Amino acid sequence: MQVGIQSLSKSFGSTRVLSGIELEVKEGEFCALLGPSGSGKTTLLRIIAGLEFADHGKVLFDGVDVANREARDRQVGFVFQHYALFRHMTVHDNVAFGLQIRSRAKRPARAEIDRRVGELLELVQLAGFEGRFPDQLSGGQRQRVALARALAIEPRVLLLDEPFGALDARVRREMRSWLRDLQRKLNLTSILVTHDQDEALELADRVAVMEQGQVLQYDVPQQVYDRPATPAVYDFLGGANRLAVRVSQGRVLLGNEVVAVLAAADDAAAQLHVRSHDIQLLPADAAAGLQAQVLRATWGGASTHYDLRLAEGSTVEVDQPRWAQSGQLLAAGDTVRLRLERFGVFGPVAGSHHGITG
Amino acid sequence: MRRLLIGIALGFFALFLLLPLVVVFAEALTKGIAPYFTAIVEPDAIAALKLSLAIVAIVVPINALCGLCAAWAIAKFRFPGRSLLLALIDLPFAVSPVIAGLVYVLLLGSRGVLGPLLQEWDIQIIFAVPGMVLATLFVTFPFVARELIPLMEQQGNDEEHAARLLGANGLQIFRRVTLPNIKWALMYGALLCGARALGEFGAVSVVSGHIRGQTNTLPLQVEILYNEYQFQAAFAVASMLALFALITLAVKALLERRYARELGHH
Repeated sequence: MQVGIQSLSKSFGSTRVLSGIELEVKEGEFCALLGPSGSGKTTLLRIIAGLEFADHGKVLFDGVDVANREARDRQVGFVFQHYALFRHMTVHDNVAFGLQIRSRAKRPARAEIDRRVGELLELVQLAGFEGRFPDQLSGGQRQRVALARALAIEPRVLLLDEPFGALDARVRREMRSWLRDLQRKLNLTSILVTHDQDEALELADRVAVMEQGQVLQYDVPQQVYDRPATPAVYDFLGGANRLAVRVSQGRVLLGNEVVAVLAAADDAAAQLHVRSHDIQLLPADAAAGLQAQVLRATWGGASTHYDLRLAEGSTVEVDQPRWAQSGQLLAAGDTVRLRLERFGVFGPVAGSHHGITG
Repeated sequence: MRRLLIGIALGFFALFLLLPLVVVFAEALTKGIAPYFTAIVEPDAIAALKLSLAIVAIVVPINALCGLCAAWAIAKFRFPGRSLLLALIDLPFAVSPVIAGLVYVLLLGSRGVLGPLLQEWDIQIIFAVPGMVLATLFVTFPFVARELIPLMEQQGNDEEHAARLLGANGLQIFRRVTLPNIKWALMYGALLCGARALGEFGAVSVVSGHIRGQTNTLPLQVEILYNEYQFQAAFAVASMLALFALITLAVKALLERRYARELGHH
């Protein structure tokens, strides 16, 4: 099923939590709503489910406005962060719930329900767990039961609210790729809410980056990561350095040094964003690059973290991968040169530009 | 130190809790078994027992239902006046039962605010059973709500929401999800409510009028007998109350042991 959101707004009292949301999720697509807490992403998901209602705007299921359709009639599968399994029911009864409560005319026969429950538990790799109670399961198992329960009603769309938020890091990784495969296999339109950028980028076909009740960018993960539409998206995706620059006749100037050349020719102040792992450290005697001095070096296994001060005064953070480290680590006081491999420039006149040096 | 503390605790227990209980039964049986049973089967005593049980039978279901509604509203919804309601639930605990009884007299008695109206329709509430039921309802209201609110707040709304999204209607959600999650706490609250209703003296005393055989409950009957120097009979009737108390304790202990987790006493 296709899900459409049109100019949707919502306030709680005087607090505006969503304003002018536009979103379209295609049939079979996996969409991630990514944003910090308080960005409105969970509220948006709950509005789609019918647990909350919008003040303005529309929610469309296959083009049909569902405003007047109650949550119980929307046929959505919902997976909660804290599982929300029925604690006094067995795994079997949890999964069967959505079928057992149907009116007699629509309810499958008991043997049929048992067969479906068995199939679903097989699907989530929990065959044989029918008789257990939720508190006898691990977090990952509970979330898989919750997923089976949501799938039992053959939902038109699957909504996942921080489904891995309560799991530990290793289980989270396993669940991620497993969920990805399952979603592909079922070809079920899905919307995931998360504040974890890795999760969003890895799982989703398209990512909607949200902040303060607005969708800042909605695109495929690579585009969102490589070409963030706004400084806020840059900030949220992979802790970027922010540097004040000038754009003059197409040249981006940091102090007096030319950092990059752009197509724009305006003369204006701008912001340059560069991620800590998109900066290459060069020896002090290299022919080009920004001069900098090491303030602090922190060894961290896969990469070493440097705090540096540029010649014109601002500070920059750099993560140097292990393979790029030759010989001795740099120490506080050493001088180096920096090469910005990938960056973005945002300015009132300059607009947004993305550059790859070299 | 540890011995001292345990000694104090046990001493206190023996002196103030166990000893009175023993005394009740000892006094009741001073003249032997036969007079004991005579005192119990005496018509006024039987009438008092019946009335007490009738009041409990009316009060417990009503307060269980109202307490459940109040707890549900407070624990699962945010609405204006919620904190006021939360504070009001404790009012019966804060107010002396005698005052509660007096309020009903002033409100519904023959010279009360609504008295003339009630007289016109020939309805007697004060110095009659309805007044006693009302007073007991008031005094025992908090037990069920108090027991349920923390549990329901802790359980949150997620399970109900999940059930709704799976297609359940309001009644199905209540019967299959909400009620099973709180049933032991509800029973526990109802048990405490019943125990208190059976033993209530102050509020009921004010509104009862002490008409023998008609508006005397067990505690009131004990007082009357005692004031008439019929000590043995007074203690015999009191021993019935003590017996109910012991039964309540046993059931309470059983509930607590078996369903501690669901009762929320982690």
